[in-house]
Amino acid sequence: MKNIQKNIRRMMILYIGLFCTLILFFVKFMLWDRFDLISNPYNPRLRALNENVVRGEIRDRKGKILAKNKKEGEEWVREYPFGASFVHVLGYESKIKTGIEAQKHFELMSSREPWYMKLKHLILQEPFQGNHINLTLDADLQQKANQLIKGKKGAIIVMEPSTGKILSMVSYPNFNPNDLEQNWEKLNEDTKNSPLLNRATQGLYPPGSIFKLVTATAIMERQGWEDFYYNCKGEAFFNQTRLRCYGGKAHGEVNLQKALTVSCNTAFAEIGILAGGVELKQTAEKLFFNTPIPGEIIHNVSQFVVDEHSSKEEIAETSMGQGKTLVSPFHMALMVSTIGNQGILMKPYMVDSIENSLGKIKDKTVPSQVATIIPPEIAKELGKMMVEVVEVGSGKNARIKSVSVAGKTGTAENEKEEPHAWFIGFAPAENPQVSIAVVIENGGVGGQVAAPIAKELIKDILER
Amino acid sequence: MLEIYIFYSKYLFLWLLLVFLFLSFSGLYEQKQGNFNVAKKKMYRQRWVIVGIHLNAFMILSIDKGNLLINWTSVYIGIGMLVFLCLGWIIFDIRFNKEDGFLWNCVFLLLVLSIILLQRLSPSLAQRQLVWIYISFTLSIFISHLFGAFSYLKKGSTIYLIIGWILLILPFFLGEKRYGANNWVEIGKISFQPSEIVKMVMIFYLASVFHTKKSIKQLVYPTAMIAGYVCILVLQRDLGGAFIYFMTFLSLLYISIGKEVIFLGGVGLASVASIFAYRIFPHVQVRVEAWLNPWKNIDSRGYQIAQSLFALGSWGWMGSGLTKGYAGYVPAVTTDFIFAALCEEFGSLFGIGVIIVFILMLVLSTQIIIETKDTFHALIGAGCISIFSFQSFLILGGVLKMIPLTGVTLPFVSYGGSSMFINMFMFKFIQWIGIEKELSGESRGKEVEEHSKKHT
Repeated sequence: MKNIQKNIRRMMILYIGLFCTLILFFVKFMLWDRFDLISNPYNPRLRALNENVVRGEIRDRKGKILAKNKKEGEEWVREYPFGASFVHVLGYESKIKTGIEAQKHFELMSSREPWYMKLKHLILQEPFQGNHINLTLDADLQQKANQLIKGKKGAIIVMEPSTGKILSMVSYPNFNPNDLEQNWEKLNEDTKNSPLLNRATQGLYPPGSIFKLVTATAIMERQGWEDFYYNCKGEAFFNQTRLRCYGGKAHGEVNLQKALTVSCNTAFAEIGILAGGVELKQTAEKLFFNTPIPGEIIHNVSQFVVDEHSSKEEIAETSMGQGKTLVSPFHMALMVSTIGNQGILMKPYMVDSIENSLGKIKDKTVPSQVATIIPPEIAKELGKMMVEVVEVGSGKNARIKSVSVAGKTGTAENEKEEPHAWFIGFAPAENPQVSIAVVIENGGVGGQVAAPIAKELIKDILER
Repeated sequence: MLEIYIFYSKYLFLWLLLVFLFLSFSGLYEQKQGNFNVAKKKMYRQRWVIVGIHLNAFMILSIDKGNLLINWTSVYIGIGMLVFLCLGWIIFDIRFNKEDGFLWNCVFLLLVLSIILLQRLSPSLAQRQLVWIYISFTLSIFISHLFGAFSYLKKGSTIYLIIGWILLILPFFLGEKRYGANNWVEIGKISFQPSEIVKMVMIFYLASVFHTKKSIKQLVYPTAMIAGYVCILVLQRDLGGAFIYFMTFLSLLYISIGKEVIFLGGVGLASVASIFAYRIFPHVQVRVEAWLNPWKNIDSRGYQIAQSLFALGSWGWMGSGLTKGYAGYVPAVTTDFIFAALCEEFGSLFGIGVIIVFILMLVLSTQIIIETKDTFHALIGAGCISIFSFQSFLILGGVLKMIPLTGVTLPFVSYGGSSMFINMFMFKFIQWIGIEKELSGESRGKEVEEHSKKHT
């Protein structure tokens, strides 16, 4: 009987343990996990909030108001003081919610005010004030980027490599969210320009030569890459498929550094074959191809299809940035930030903090590392090569006096006549404060179209 | 005004629950110190707290939000429950003057929460639940007079076994499908879940087998029989039931034999069996998928668990306030998912407090059965506790998305007649074990022990 008593007690302790794990799990859910899911459109509580909360403001990093509620007669109307400049990032509140407005809907519509403020609202029968959201975006930079891309189609992303903060995110063509109601149908029918699409995160483009950075990373993980030499004749054959350097130009004897600087296609086709399909795939997937990037920013995943079964010509084409690879500008901005940040990918973010109506910060995002996805020595070496690209190579148009810019251009062939123009880069090369990705749809040669835009924006930030 | 009252009453509810818990713990401490009178006073004070929660909630529920008129059906339900509380306490004080008052206060608190939530979510169910509470309570009191006879049925293992088989197989003939499980029986207008009743039968069976010492060989037969029960439940798609049966078997086996190896082996075996079940049965795969990623199929398989998490997570620690939530969107919120509604409207802190009430019930009932000298009784008590605890854990874990969902009820809180009756019965039995020990004294205990020794 004594034994039985002892055993019963032990059973009790086991069950108490189970209940305690429940409590711990619940607390963890309440403290962290719940915030990621409650803004889901399937949550019926979201609709209910509208009635008794004034939606909070959205502000840029300096406190400039990007979105606020304004009373028009009896009704509250959402107003966007910067008009079209921020439309893709912020999204809109009427119609279908998108962007920050959708993602942070719950925070904007709930009130973290102290109890006495709530009591005041209840007694005066006035609505609660929703929380305000402070973004990492810079309104001046955003407007400048909008000016530079005006009239073209494409996207620009500016980031801070060491933190993962997004300073600017522009997609063009855009539209004015303040008169969305009137123009909704027109915007939806415009399939030629698709202004509703956020090209920066949702657009997928062939990368062109900027993909050579991935190929280079793959080969540099091998010993002895410094000894690589290739004699470029302007074209080369891979299983009867003819690949050409841009304009059929023969670059002569090149090593990896030179090949990257002049953006030699045939050399990189050869490098890719040397590295092999498996290794290319490994490197690409480590760099978040075919894999969603951690963090809150919703994006389309970049696609990379080469593997161990791929044919020689497929590998060759892919290595120089053509083939079936598709990338989002957002992903490319992160990739180049990682190179600038010694191979460490920082979790990208846009929401810097959440504060209540009294200005008290309630939730602050702390920069966090995702992982070291490029070995630091390779990242450093790549950075040096990219400086050469801008100093003497295809990226000359991004050169700035007194600051060394690291970059890579891309000119991506596609079914249409004009190629997509790419530029990705960071500056200052030694200690990057800013990284950038620019893509102009059917814009032409990357070095001529995208690089000057990047230069203007980098200058704009560094001079401030 | 009503708005303000509802908004701040959530703090009042939480405070009352904290007082309840404080009184329980301090009362237990006094009991341990031997200050029975002080402990008793605390127990009486706890009753006021329960009444406080009840009255406050029904005050809110009885006022129609739209036109501020009084909703009389709600008032009647409130009064009906209040009468039950008073009657219950009077009966206990007159008939069973014991220290298990704390345990019953916990039960009554859960019943009060059940009626409040059901009245809030579905008033017609609240009415029926109130009827179930009255019937279950009265029946369990009557049956408790017969409990004495059970002591003479220690040898009835085969009878229990057969009753169990018959009841469990019934749904195959008179079955009715509910919530995807095939474990309901409908005879005329009455429908019930045989697996609920077999829980009790199984405990008696196991206790009658285990109360004498057994060699490993002698354990093969009962193990096979319980495995059979479990298999039937799996076939009826009642996975929660299957787990509860198995855990209860394992707990009782461990208690009577005391070998950790067997217990851990059993848990290992269950894990292997679960993996097999996952591979073989599509309905198990559906459950596991919905658990791993409810967001993928949020409009179909994942809907229920996603809605539950919205209810739990949307309002923060303090909840929305009574009548202010949207728990109606959670499927099966009156039965399996009632804890989601509770956390939504009373707040997550209150929900955690309720989990602590479950822990308290576990500890209090264990204390009672541990004092008995009769192995048979101790095993039955342990079986009841095991079922109560594991079932609560399964459904709470499922609602919180900690473990895959298995549709079982939350004891005393979920709507359901069979479940209410069996839980009331189990706690009545635990109470009876405590009284029995007191009445017959140690001499009878010795006699029983000798009796069982003779058997081996």
